[in-house]
Amino acid sequence: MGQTIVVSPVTRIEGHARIALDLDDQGAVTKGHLQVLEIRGFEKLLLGMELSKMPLMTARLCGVCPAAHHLASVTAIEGGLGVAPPADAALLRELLYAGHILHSHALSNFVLSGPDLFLGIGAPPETRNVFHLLVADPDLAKKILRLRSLGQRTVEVVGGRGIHPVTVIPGGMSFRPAPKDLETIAGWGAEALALLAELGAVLQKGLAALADLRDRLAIPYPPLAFARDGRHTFLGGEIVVPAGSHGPERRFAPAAYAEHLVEHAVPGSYMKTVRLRGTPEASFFVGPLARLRVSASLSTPLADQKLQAFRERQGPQACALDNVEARWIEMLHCAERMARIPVELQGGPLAIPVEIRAGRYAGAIEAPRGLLVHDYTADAQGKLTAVNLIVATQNNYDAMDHAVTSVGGHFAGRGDDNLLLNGMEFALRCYDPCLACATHLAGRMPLEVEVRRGGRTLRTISRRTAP
Amino acid sequence: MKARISTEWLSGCSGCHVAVVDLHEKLVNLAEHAQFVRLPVLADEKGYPEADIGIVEGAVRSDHDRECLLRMRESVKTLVAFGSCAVYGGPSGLGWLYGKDAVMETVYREGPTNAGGPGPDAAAVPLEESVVPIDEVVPVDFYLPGCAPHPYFIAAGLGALLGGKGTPLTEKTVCSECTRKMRKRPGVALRKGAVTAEEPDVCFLSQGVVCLGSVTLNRCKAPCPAAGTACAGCAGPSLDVITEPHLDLRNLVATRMHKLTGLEPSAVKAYFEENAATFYAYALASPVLYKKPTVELREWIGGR
Repeated sequence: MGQTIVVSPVTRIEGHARIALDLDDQGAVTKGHLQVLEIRGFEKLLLGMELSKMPLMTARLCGVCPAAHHLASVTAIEGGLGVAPPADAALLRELLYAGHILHSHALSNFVLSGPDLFLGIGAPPETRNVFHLLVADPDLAKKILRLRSLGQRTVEVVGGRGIHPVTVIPGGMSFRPAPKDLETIAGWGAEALALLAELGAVLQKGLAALADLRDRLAIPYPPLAFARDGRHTFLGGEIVVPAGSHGPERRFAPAAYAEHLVEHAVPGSYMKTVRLRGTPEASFFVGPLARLRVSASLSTPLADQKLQAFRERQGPQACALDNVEARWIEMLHCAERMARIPVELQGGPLAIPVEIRAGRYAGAIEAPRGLLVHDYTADAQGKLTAVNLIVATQNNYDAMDHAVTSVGGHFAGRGDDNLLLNGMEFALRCYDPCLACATHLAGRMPLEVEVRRGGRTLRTISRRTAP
Repeated sequence: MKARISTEWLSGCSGCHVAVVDLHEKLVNLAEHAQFVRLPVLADEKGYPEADIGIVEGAVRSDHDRECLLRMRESVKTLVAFGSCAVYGGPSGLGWLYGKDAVMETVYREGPTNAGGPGPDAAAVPLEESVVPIDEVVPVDFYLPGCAPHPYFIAAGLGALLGGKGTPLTEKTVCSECTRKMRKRPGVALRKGAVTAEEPDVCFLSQGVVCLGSVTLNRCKAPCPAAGTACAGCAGPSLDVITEPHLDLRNLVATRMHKLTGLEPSAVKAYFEENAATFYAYALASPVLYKKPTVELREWIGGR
């Protein structure tokens, strides 16, 4: 008879979840499994809505990465119409998205995982948060909040709003920021670069302290990411899976995703996992590290310099812990683009006219956490008759379960529930899971661990820190 | 003693929690006057410690949500419905149109990438049949709609609750902060599906584009029309619509568009009814709208 540990809720991630940990008779971990507790079911909820309103509506899938849904939606619609935005609109989208990635990565690396990195994963839970950091190291905490705010404010200026931006429209952009606001953003880019240089050193120190988890956080799956001519890209390009034990290299157009990907429901959870079609099907991973393992250049000088050093240190084995540094390198790239794009804008047209017609509209982009697919079918009135969504965090489900099993096995049996709980949560945080998205769906990530043996719950560990 | 704030996230997108982080520098000031005793997105407290103010984001979709909400209500003195999902159901509330089985069928059976196996097993948390705003489950003391509420109104609302003098929350519509000018544009056509218009300084309604700014409560400071996009109504209906049973979004917008452009009110109303899923998306799970004598959301949209 095996047993199971449940961690519920998982905190400091974007979603509602718990972890079930199955143990064998000897108390060794046999399987860890993330369970997502929410579903909203946007594939159903969007039916009957106007296709042209999807960029506004689908942003509501997620409050952490609304800009990703906003852009994925427009990308799908433009793909279906066979149109591309004018040059200035493409640049403004890139600027908006650079701000968005900076906000999202800074939130993940510093605000959510930061306490683990700066205070240690075994620190008392009541101190493991950004508010404690404000007291313990106000200078560091303020830099962290400032860095994230530079990204989010860029979204506010270019996207019209920080949460659920509105300015990207099929055919282009609805709005051009004033010259003085663009100048301000260029300054924020420079400021972000300076902050990232300082925070990078602190981050490296935190990562070094967790080096003994590297083997436990190895990812036994291939990366899947966008690339354009071998270069890193968030928007546009083709989807690449390098060759490996899973099979030969795959390259495919985003709109052809359904020929290559398949979703499965998993026990006890509302989040579906995604695998590569084939016999057998293959698991993969996505996100910052996947992007940097697929592409050799980010096309900006400082980020490329750091990427080269990072790649030289990388062996053949991917490690989830490296997502933290990958996020930092992508943030450098975004800050470089924020400083540069304002002077690249030409003052040309912002949008071309488009006309919605019946048809299939499928497209994808790289969300901060990886591949994000929007796929709509519209009727002659421009109303949706079918919707399919594959969201970044779903793509990492198998990899996250692997990490939870591995790290759970490392810390189980030490008699330290705090370390076991937060160790597994930290493993998840390396992937920056966004369950609001992933279940299109909703989620907090409060963690509860349910300990099971032979399907029977032995005990449930849930943190209670309040007096 | 610092006021204690506890937050909870039910069926929603986390945007309302991100909006609190978007107080930016003000968050540091807030931390000087208040203590977050529970904040699941940012901190590790898993229980429901006693607090002075409870902030709830999201609607009630599952048994889990209901249980969390009840425990939240028991543990706090003042409960705030925070954001359009908590207040009206919001986009999560679109689930109100369909039974849970219909939602599950689409999510796990339809679509080109579903493997076709069984959906989540019995171990998954049971969903409720419908989706409801939180005041259908527990008494609510304070409402702050918005998708997400603008940090300005969050600061104003929290300031008032924390006993400061603060800025009173406006009772006006989005139009009150929009800088576009209403102009007569006789003969303009109804531009179905459009969210933008040519003239950047002229009211969308004058240009034949349906904008919900005149029937939406201002909890946003009107950023969308300023950035070239018509209001989608994400903060929910304006106070006149909430308080007057005979007033509805489509009648009020149709009348305004008729006066500005000469468009037949019946054509505008028909467009609203054909696309009710879009125009009523943020508040259709609330009795504030679906109990109105002339509003037939399920008939218009074709839900259960």
